[in-house]
Amino acid sequence: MRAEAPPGVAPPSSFDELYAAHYGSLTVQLYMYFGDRQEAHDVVQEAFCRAYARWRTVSAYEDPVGWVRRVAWNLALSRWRRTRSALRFLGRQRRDDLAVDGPGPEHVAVVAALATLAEQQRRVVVLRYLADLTVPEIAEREGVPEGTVKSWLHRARLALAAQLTDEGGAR
Amino acid sequence: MTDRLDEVLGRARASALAEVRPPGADQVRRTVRRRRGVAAVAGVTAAVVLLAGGIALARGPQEPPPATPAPSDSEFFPPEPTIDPTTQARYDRASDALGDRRLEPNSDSTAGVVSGSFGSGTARLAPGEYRLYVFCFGEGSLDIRVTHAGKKLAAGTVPCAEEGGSLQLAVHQESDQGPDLELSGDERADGKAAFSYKFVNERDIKASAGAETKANAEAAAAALGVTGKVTTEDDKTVDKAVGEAGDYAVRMVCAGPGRLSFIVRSGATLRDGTVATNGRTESAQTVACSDSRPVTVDVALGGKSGISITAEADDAARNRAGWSYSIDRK
Repeated sequence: MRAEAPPGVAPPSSFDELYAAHYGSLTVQLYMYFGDRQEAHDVVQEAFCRAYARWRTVSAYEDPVGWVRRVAWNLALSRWRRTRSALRFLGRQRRDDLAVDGPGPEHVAVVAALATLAEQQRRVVVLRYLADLTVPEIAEREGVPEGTVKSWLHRARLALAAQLTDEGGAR
Repeated sequence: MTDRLDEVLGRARASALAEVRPPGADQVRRTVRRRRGVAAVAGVTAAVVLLAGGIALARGPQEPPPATPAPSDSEFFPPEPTIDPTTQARYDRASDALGDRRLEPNSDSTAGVVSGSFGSGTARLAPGEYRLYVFCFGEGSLDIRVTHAGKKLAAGTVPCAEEGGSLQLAVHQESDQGPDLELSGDERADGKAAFSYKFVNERDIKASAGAETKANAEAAAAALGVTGKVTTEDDKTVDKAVGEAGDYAVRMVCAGPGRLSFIVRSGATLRDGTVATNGRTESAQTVACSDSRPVTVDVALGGKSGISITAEADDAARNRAGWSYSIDRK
C-alpha cells in the first residue's frame, strides 16, 4: 500500500500537483489518528498554507510532502490549535456534515479501535499503515530506536486485531 | 492476523479518503495572500516609524534571505502563545454559547480568541439558507464578513460583552464551495475577547419560547381575563370549533414589543371537529403590542364550523411579545 503517491508516478512539480496528490491522504492520516475529520482538514490545509508561503524553499526539498506531513502532525499535536483558533476559519463540522457522506461502520470501528491505543502506538500505526512510512523513517521522526517502533507496532497490531478481526475473537 | 488486519485498515483508509473534500489549492493561495497583505501593512507601518525617527533607509529593498536550511522541529512547532486566565474564561464561555454541538443542530461552528487582523477561511456548507450566529465575550467589537467568490453574502458587527454579545445574520449559500468567513476584532478585542460562531441550516432551527414572550403571553391573557396564552417564537395558529350557528366575537390582544398581524378565518369543520385551514378570511389587521387594547372581530358562523386565528410577528416582536384570545358567542 503506497499511501501518498502511486508507484511510478513522478513527484509533483507544482504546488497544485502536490496539493492534489497528497491533501486527501494526509487528511486521512490525521483523521484516523484524531477521529475528527474537521480537525484533520484544518491542520492539513494550514500545513499546505505554510508550504505555499515558502514554496520556493519547500519545493527544493527532497521530500516536500514529508515537510507538509510533519508540519500538519506537529500543528495537530501542539496547543497551537487551541490558542490560535482565531485564525481557524475552516470551521468544525459537527453533527450536520452536510457536504459529505458520513463514515461507514467499518471506518467507525477502526477509528474507535485506534482510539483505544496508547498515543504513540496509534501514531506509529497511522504512519506505518496509512502514511506508508518505513520503520526507519518512523524511528527517525519519533526520535526512538527502530526496535522501539517495531515493539509499538507489534503491540498495536495485537490490540487492533483483537478488536477488528475474527482472529482476535472480538467480532 | 496480518492479512485480515491489513484488509480492514485498507478499507478504512479508502472509506475515509472518499469522505475527504479538499478545500482547494486556490483557497490556500487566498489565505496566504491575505496573510501577506496584513504583513505588508505591518511592514509599511514599521518603515514609517523608522523614517520618522530620523533613520534613513539608504539601500533599496532588502535582498531576499538566504535559502532556509533543512527545517528543524522548531520551525514546525509554532511558538505557543500564552493565554491569560481572563481570556481563557471568555473562550470557554464563547464555546459554551454554541450549546452542545453533539445535540444542537449546527452545520459548521468554531470558537476562538479574537484577532485584530482579518483572518479567513472556508466554511463547508451545502447550498441552502443558513443563519449565522456570532457571539463575542469580552470588550470591544468584532466585524464579520461572509463572502463567496468575492460577493458579499452577509456582514455585521457584534459588540463584545462580558456576559456575551451576539448577532444573527441570514446567509444564502448557493454554491457547494464555501462560503468564506472573515472576522476582525477592534483594538480592545484583539487578543483578549473570545468569539464563537455557528452556521445553522434554517430548516433545523426550532425556536423555543423565551422568558420574555412567556411573560408577555401571561400579561395578554390577564388583560383579556382568559387562560389561553400564546408565545411568538414562531407564527402560530389557534382555532376553536363551534357547534351552533350564530354571531361570535373574536377578541385578541398582544403585549410586549413589536407588532403582530392577526388573521381571523372562518371555516367548516371536518367530521371529527377539526377546523379547516382554508376558510374565508374575516379580518386581517396589524396591531402594535404596546397598545394593550384588545382587537375585536365579529364573525357570523353557520353550524359545524369554526374560527382560526393566526398571528404573525415582526422582527421586534419575534419571541418577545405574547398574545391571547377569546372566542365567545355574542
